[in-house]
Amino acid sequence: MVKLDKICREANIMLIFARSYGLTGFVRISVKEHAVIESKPDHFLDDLRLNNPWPELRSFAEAIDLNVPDPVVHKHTPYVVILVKMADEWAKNHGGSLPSTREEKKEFKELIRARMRALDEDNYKEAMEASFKVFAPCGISSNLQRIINDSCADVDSNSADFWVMVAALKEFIEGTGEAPLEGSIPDMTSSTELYVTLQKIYQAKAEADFLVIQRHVRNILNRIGRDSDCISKTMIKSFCKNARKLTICRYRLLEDEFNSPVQPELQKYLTDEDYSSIAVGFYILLRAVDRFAANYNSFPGQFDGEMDEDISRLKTTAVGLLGDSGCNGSTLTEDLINEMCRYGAAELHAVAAFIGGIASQEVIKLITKQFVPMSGTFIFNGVDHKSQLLSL
Amino acid sequence: MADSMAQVSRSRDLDKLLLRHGHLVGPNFEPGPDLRDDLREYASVLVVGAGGLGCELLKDLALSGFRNLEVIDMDRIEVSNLNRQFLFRLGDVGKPKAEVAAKRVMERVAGVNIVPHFCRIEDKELDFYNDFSIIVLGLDSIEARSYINTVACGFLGPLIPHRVRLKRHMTTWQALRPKYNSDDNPREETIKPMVDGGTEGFKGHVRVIVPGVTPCFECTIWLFPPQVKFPLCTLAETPRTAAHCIEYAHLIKWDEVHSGKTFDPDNPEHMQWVYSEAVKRAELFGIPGVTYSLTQGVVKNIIPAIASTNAIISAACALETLKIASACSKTLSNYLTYNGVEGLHTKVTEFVKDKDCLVCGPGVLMEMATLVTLREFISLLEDHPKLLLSRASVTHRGKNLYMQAPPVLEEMTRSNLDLPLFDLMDKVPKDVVHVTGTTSKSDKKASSLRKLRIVFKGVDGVTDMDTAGGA
Amino acid sequence: MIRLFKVKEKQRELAESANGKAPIKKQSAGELRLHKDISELNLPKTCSISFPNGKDELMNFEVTIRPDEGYYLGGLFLFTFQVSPIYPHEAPKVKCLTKVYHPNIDLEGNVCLNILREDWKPVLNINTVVYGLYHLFTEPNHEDPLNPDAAAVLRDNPKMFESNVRRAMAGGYVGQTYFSRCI
Repeated sequence: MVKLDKICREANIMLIFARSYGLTGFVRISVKEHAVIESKPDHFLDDLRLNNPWPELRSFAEAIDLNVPDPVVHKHTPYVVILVKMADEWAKNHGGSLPSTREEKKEFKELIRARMRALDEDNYKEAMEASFKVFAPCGISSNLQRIINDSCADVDSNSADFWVMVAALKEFIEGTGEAPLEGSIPDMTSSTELYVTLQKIYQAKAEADFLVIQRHVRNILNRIGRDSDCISKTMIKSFCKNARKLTICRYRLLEDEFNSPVQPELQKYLTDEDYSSIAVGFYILLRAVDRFAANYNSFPGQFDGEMDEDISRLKTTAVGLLGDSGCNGSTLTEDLINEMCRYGAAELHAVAAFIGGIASQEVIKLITKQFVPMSGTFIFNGVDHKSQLLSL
Repeated sequence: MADSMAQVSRSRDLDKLLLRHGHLVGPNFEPGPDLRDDLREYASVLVVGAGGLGCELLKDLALSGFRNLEVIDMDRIEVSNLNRQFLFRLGDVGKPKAEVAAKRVMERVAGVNIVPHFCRIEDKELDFYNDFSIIVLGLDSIEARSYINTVACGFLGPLIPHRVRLKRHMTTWQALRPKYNSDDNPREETIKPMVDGGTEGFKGHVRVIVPGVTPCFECTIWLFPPQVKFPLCTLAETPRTAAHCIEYAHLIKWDEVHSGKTFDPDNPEHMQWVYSEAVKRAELFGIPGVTYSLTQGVVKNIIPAIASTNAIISAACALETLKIASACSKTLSNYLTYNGVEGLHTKVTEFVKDKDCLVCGPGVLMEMATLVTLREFISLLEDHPKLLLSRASVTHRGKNLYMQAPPVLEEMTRSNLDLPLFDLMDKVPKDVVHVTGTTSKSDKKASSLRKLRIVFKGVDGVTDMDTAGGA
Repeated sequence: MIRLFKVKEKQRELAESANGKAPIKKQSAGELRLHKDISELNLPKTCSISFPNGKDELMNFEVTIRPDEGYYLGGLFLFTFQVSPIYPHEAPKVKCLTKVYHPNIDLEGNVCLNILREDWKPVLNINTVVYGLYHLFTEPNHEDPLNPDAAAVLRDNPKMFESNVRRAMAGGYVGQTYFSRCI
């Protein structure tokens, strides 16, 4: 494993280990770096800029009168407009700052409620529910900050396209304090006309931001001596749309993990009685059975007659392995060692199918460069399904 | 010869789990060759659904030591199934899923027998479901899950006529939950375990339902978020998204144009019509994004299925089935979620049973004479310490024996009041009835729906066990 | 559990030889909940309910509304209710069988009532829905139109709306549309 890992790492080939062993097994990805543009997270705050509208959005909102007499128009004013206007109004009355304390936030919501004319005005209900989007901080997330500060963002002619775009993004953020606008809005109660206009305003801003990024990308490509058109427009567009959700996954070499596991993590797992002690136990034992096989030419419990001897040998092996991992004095439960010997390297179809399913799902994510692949080592616990992802 | 070699090697790995003693095992684990052989001979598993999960489940179970499998599915194979329902080939399109899936697995796995049932789950007699040791569900509909759950939970307790007295022993599920008082403990041989799997894109769940012991589907129906429904007036007047245009064509325009003809989501011409109407509407309002596949997705409420998620969830279901049957390890307690969208997350949650669940709950035991009239029965409910239910309406297996309201039903059922309950219940010695009425606790009135187990005294077929409510 | 499966196998053989009477029909959780809703109905005198398929078929029923005030005074409106086996997880499906000139009910009988669609919650019941429907007749609103023509007339010219409603209920044309008499 260690050898194959090194070879693949040098050749820059993605490698996935998958193993099924009794009622346990593991899956581990090994690749130097995997950058995801389309991470498609389930829950992510919309990019609406309610508390920091750009001029076009601001003037669109200003042109709309929240006190419009027509009740139909009143109940079809989209909440984006309501919140932009009310955030602006609040800021004017509070020396430029937005609601920050709990009381202020509550007060802000009450102000929205006070503008409701009837109980069935869904747009105002939506505005109250979405008011937290006004309170969200401006600027970029710490995660994105980390990415633009990554040393890889200092690009040269060998840099990957992804990092060239990150470098362009960094220049953009340094100029504006914000990532490029995503450009889409969620569905909300509104007249069709206002909604479509609003959509167009967001799209236009996203397009403008994209053009700026594209210019940065071309300049950077020129600077590092590459063809300034070698990153496609589609690619840059997708990058801009997903800029706030960029994700980088990096994996340690197996050899490093084996020789110097992350001690605090390992200690945490070993002492966590409730959840992960079985999973980390399996992790140690899955490595121990290989060491056992190297020493005794068979897996523990592989043959019926040698059970008792194998149990004590496996125990010794596991204790040795724990010692090598810097965990002197830690032990695994008798039950678990016993269990591992019972497995005798058996491969159960259902376990193999589970592990294979996990591994193939990770392959799909890696190859399509969509969604976020798992980090660390996945340890399958087929006893009670309290499986765990270990970051070692 | 080759066949028997395959058999030996196939069971070799499984044998380690079934023939050896272990410490992390289920209650009453009795390892040995008998266990392996009994699993082959006596365990029969019904797989409900022969789609994405069902194909995997049949293959997994067949390769996990089970020999008696049956599969039920009412659908025929469509081209769009072929990317993940791996037992099917292009030439199978149009054939019943259950039949092709059963045939393919039997071709590949020697010794396994799979009986296909090409029909709706409601078409089968209840007895059909009672013949299985375990029911495994690979479905995508709440209705179907709810139906099977009701059926399986319905076998609980003293409902089934039975004359064989079991040897008393510490029962498997009692060992898990010694807290249960004997009155409400279901008889073990009436428990029909279910293993339920479900997937949605990169997410999925597996749950083990042991009726009467762990929460049933109905106890936790809130786990399924209600489907999003757009207001009709939004569809009619202020559409904003492609989905709004599609639902307009599907829910409003269709009826307007085809008065009387019902829309059939499985008819491609119908779907095509909805799609083209949706396109027209989207153009009218300047809304982008209407495509044929989105139309299908919105109308049929389809969530994209991914082969690997199906593989993961089915494998976990098959493993749980094996563990329940053999006790070769502990079982999932009781709900596993898998999420592969951002990284990989698995979580086990132990949900609790709703003790008053109408479907799996034990109900309140009432013994009475066969002469008790419905009117007397209703007044008994008022004084019963566990019920204190006034103004009760009574229903028995879909027959409304007495309804307090509305007046039209009260009138239609009034004549039952002076008949003996025993007669109204078709003279069965014991059965479940449901009652609705008002309970008052410290002057606060609340409406309440309760399940009752009625046992008539002195009728043939009632043993002491039945009145005890279970061993 | 395998031992139990064995026992059951034997038991079944015995049961088959005995007079095994198959249990009849299973009541879904939805049916039971509906039974509760129905047995607790407390309708205003302007509304009545009927069960075309008899006292034991509650899942499909009809509600008649005869408003005693407002534009629709004296009219008679028939609604069908279809209840799913997973009720109350899903709202009942309601259609208006009487063709009506109404801003929130279209000519096919679709009804725009929030609690039937986006605002349905399992804590609601049949009583709430019937009251909601009744409310539509006493206070039709032009803000959630399903019949945009009627809604526009109600908004711009309530007098004309009133006479349109009268004409439709008496049996006659409003614009191009014919309405049957429902008084």
